[in-house]
Amino acid sequence: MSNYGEQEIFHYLDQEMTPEQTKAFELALKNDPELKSALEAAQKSHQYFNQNNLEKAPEVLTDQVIQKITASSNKKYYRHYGLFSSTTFLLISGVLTALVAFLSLISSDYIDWSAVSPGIPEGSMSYTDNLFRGFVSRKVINSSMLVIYGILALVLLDRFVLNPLFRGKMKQLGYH
Amino acid sequence: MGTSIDDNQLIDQVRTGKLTAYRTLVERYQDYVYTICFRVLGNREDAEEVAQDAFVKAYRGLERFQGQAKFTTWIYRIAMNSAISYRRKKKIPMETLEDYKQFDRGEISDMTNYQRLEQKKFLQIALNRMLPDDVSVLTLFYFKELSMEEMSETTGISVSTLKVKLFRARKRLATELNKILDKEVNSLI
Repeated sequence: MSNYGEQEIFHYLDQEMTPEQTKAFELALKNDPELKSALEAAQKSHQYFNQNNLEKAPEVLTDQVIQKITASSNKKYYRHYGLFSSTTFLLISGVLTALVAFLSLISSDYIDWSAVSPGIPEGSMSYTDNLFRGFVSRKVINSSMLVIYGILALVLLDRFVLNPLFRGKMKQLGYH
Repeated sequence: MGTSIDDNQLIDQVRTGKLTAYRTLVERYQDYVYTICFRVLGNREDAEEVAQDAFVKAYRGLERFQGQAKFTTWIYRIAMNSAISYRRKKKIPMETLEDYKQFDRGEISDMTNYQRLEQKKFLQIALNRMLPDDVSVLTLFYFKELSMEEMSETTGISVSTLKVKLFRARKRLATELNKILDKEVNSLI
């Protein structure tokens, strides 16, 4: 293949040769069938790629990308606020449970009030002196109701405060 | 590519939370990103999935995008790396001659279209026989919108190595395409 190699063939195809170099190359082509066939092979792949350098993306691609981004943002929100709600719920219900348990202990007379009432003889402690006595069952019920109200308050907080806040933020960010 | 609003301006808008600006960017470059994925993967379904993921990754990483480089070099690099690693991880079925025949039947309306589809078919079959790195270099080169320096930035290969790689890839493609075309001609005789 004359003085020209494949490197020169690609230079010729990419029009990177000077006019003099091009002239000399084209002259060599006329006298060198091997160079000519090498050029034709390279020319074919060059032409095929040039004419088909871009594929058409599916029409739904953009929508699907935006959907994926929006979905991942939603997940982030739910992770963040879900964690906040769960922690709050656990804290409140923990405190309320402790309170209910404490009141139950009092009602069962497990607490020795004489121990915390110095100066009063053990024998003089009567049921009537115990202020909690008689109200126990109502207190337990009240405390249980408090737990239920707490849960309800959390649900309402999420429904009427956090959710509208989230929706407003989404609109502000331009999400659909 | 007719760009009414500059890419960097759109990126600034995305950073302020405007998702519609990102939609414009995706619409602008979806064909390029999809082409990179399709050339490397040789399969339309996987190419679509990887192209989507590349755009989502780019969106999430937009905070890290400095703006010194072009957005195109950045998104092409993400697409290229995603496609190459996807192809390495999974054994992807490449589109076969049979797939193309089915595709042809639905799309051919005239001779020009037929010739174009034939070219596409042979080109992709030749590319399927090549290394994914070489395919991505060729794809970027034939986009004809990146300089050698930008291609080097996209691929992470030095300019001198890239030139050698590109030359070898073009040579290999010419050889593979020639083999396929010879085989096709022989089958017709």
